[in-house]
Amino acid sequence: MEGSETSNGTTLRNAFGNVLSFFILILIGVLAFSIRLFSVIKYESVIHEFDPYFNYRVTQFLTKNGIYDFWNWFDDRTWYPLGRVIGGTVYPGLTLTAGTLWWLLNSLNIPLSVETICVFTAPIFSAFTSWAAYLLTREVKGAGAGLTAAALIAMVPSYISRSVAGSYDNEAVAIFALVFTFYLYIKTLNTGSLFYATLNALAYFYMVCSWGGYTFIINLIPMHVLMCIVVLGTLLAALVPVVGFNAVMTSEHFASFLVFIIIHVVAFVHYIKGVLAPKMFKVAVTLVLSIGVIVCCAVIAVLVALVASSPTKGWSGRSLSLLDPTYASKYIPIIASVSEHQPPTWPSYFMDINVLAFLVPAGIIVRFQSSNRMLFTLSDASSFVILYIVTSVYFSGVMVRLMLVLAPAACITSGIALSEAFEVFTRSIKFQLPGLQGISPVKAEETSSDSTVPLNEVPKTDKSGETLKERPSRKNRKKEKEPVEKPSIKARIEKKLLVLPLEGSVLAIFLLVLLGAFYVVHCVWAAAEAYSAPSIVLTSHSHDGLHVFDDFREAYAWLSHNTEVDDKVASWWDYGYQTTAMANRTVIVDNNTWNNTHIATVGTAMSSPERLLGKFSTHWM
Amino acid sequence: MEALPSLARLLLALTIFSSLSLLACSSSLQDLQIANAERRIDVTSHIIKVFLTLKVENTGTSPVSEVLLAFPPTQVDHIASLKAAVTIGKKKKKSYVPLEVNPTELPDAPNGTKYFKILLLNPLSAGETATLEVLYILTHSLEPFPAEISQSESQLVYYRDSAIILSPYYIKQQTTFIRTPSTKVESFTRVEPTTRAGTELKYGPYKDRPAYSYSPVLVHFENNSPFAVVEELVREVEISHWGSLQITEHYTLAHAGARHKGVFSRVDYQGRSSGVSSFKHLLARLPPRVHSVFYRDQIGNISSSHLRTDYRRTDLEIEPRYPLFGGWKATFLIGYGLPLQDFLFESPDGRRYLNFTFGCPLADTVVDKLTLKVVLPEGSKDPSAVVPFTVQQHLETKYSYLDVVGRTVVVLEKKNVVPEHNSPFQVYYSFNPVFMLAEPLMLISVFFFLFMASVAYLHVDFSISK
Repeated sequence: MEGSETSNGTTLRNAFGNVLSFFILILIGVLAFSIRLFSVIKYESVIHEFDPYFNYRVTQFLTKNGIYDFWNWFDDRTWYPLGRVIGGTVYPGLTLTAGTLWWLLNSLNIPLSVETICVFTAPIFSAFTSWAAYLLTREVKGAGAGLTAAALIAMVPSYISRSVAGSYDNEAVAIFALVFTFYLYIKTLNTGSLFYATLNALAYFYMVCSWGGYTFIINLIPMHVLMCIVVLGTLLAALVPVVGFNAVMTSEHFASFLVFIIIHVVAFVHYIKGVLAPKMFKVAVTLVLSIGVIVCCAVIAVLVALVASSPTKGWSGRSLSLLDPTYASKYIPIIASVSEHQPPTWPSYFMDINVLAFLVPAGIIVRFQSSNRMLFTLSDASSFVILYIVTSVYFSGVMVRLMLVLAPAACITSGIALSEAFEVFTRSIKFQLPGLQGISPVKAEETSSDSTVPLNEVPKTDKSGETLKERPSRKNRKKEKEPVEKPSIKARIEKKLLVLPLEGSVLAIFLLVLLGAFYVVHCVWAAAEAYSAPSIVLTSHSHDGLHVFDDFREAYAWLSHNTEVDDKVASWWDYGYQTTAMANRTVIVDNNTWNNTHIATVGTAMSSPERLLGKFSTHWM
Repeated sequence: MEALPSLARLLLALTIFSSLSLLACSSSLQDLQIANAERRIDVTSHIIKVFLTLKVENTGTSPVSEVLLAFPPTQVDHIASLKAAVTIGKKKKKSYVPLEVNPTELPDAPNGTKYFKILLLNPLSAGETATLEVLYILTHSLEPFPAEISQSESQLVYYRDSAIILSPYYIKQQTTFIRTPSTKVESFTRVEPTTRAGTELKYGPYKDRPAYSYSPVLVHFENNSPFAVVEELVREVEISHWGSLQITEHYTLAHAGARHKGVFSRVDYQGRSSGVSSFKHLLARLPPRVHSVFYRDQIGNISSSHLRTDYRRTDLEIEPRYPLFGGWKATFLIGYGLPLQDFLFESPDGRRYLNFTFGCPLADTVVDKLTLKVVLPEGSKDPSAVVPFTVQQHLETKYSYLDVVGRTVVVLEKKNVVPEHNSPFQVYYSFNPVFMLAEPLMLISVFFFLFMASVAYLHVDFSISK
């Protein structure tokens, strides 16, 4: 506080801005949480769909038996007679998160059931995601853009589809982990602080625990380079049993290691250059190069031989189908048969990210433009965001499911675009209305919050630099901020000349607000109508009111109360998880796809005539 | 040498004592006789109600203050409730005064006969008569035969009893009526005179039967009434002095009739009127002014229920997830809130008491084991329960929202509970209202310290280097 004593007025305004943005953030969190409660209000507080039931069952086991039993859990209730090693084949992030939440609340004597915790994990984490998006965008652009991005991500339909209350799936926490990892990465980049680097590695660890999508991070960041995360992160990643030694064995992780090696070679060359005289350096270079090339060739030859010897070239099936969209349909039809692995249609883009689809290019342009203003290069953060959006657009084009990865990127870039647009328009209004100084007029809730904060941006980030604890890194921050401050003053003078006509700006702001309103209406509709059905209860409206079809649970309840405990249910794929979780009976196949032969056998059995079934049943009994 | 005479003396004393007591007993047994007995057995549902009217006459010389009822040992385990009343006044001004009934033992009971003792208000002096009305309820006394039926069959059951009332007294005249649910009676034992008219089966009148006469009868008839048995019911009543009473009831329901055989066809069930012995609806009678009613089970809400409220009572009509056939089970959970002022009162000595209904709110069901837990608010002291019949009691501690010392729970347990047990009981306890503020104050202080800590954190410089 004592640092920025430029004037009493600015401090007060900063404080006001801080408090205001704090409250806006809290409201955004509440919004993110409550927009996902449509499913609870319209239906009931229940776990949705299929995979969430498995996760719920695992969480129940964890809370009942503790972490060590969970880690060693061999589940004989599924894939009869094979069973499944649960502890080694799940991403434990989600389960551990919910388990910890449950344990925490119960140790405070708040007796919530495991189911309640599981139902509300996703909405809670989407509130966290919107805050993480705020932090990330603040690092990239500024607090105003951050707030806009947070508000956008709080209600982006694509993310809502995977995180409504009851949708207790890996993605629920993984998107938070993804955005937060990216935030810490950029924070590390901006500050150079080892503290953030370590936090970053931990966040990456959490991401690896949570979702297979961590490969996206580990490939994206190397494209962007930083060592700390690779070394620490990989070691930690290797601790997750699903990933295990895959962390160093499969090709998906090669990009990171390659970059890691290159960084070290470059650093070493720089170091040698400094130590040796130029002549000696040349000699050394030729020497090292000739040896190096030989060694490299040998190593590459070995690697190529190794990779080529494995049938999938070291890549897992899902990743290959990402790089080569036709791969899955050619070689692994079982992956291609899952609808969420299909490429999306154009309308689904509009459905899932709505107006953001139009704002994303604008956001990218803004990033280039603002970078151009300073030294005609992309800043680290901006280039990272651009890289993120470009890759995620590609991936979402291959698989519908990965639309989820695109959503935060789209929100961040559109947040930047929107906030920039508001800034330009409000500024041009301000310059043409000399009577209005200081805080710009309140037009609408959104406009005011978005426009006042960017004006305070520079001093404010400075102040937060004071108060946050990474004082040693402040110098770095200062350095980084200086070019921003200077051009912004210059820009302000330039801007006087570049003002837009008053009427045009007012109209444009009005249109932007309209666009935002349209987005909000669409999101609320999507949350309420499209994505809130739990899929175990079906409803239909008829002239005499609401009809509820609860046949699935009727069957599960009957199974659980009126069959023997060790009876086997010849379930097919889709409802295997639900049968084990709700009916508590052993199933022959569930939604997991680890043994294609087994699935094929059950498929054959199910499609055989009834008289042949005896053969199959003896096969299993 | 000294041991022997003392032993002999003891034996002598014992013999004298036992013969004396036998004499006393038999004297009172012989003093009484039953002038007229009428028994009406209602087997229309699986809860059997027996109304017994006894006209007791004292033929002895000394006044008698108690009357004994005898039951065969197979029946006594199935008696859920036994009530007796004495009739006072004549035809028009008839009124009933309830009497105390206790189980008792007799030393020379033939074939393990069990007894209940009715204590009369005024001893019956020589030559007087008194009319006693006895109602007892039998559960699990209908045996399905055949034991397994398919979906389309209707359920037939056996009822076993005696045509002649088992009694330690001489009975001058007696009649037994058995009311069946329908006219469809497969067979019945004849003990002449036996007549059958419509849904009523009449055994008797029999004259001048000596004590302990017994004549077993077997009635085989159709009974498709819902054999709804709650194997275990845990009711939890949580008192909050902030103005609400929260009740949660966990049911384990079973169909105790003939077991279902073969496959279940949904088409037949809904299309034709098959599955007559199964049941689908249950009616729960809740107190008036209930709010926030829920009906669910382990895997979520059960979406088939109707709630009808009026100012006197609330009817909650529920359907289990699937129709229950013989041998099938279902578990579910009903919860509701009630306004506290309807049930919590202050007694004159300053203690508070909860006045609530014992038993199971489901109509026409038998509860094999009922556990009623009254969760008192945190900080309440010396709880005591007053229940009109014998129950097992003990105390527990429960930790609920933000509890520190835990709440005292009064646990009342009773086996074989029928709707006749739905009578009020009281739980007394003392409570200081200051405890109501404990949890809000705790929350306030936590947030206060949180804010103070963050203020302090923002003002203190933690960095190592300047």
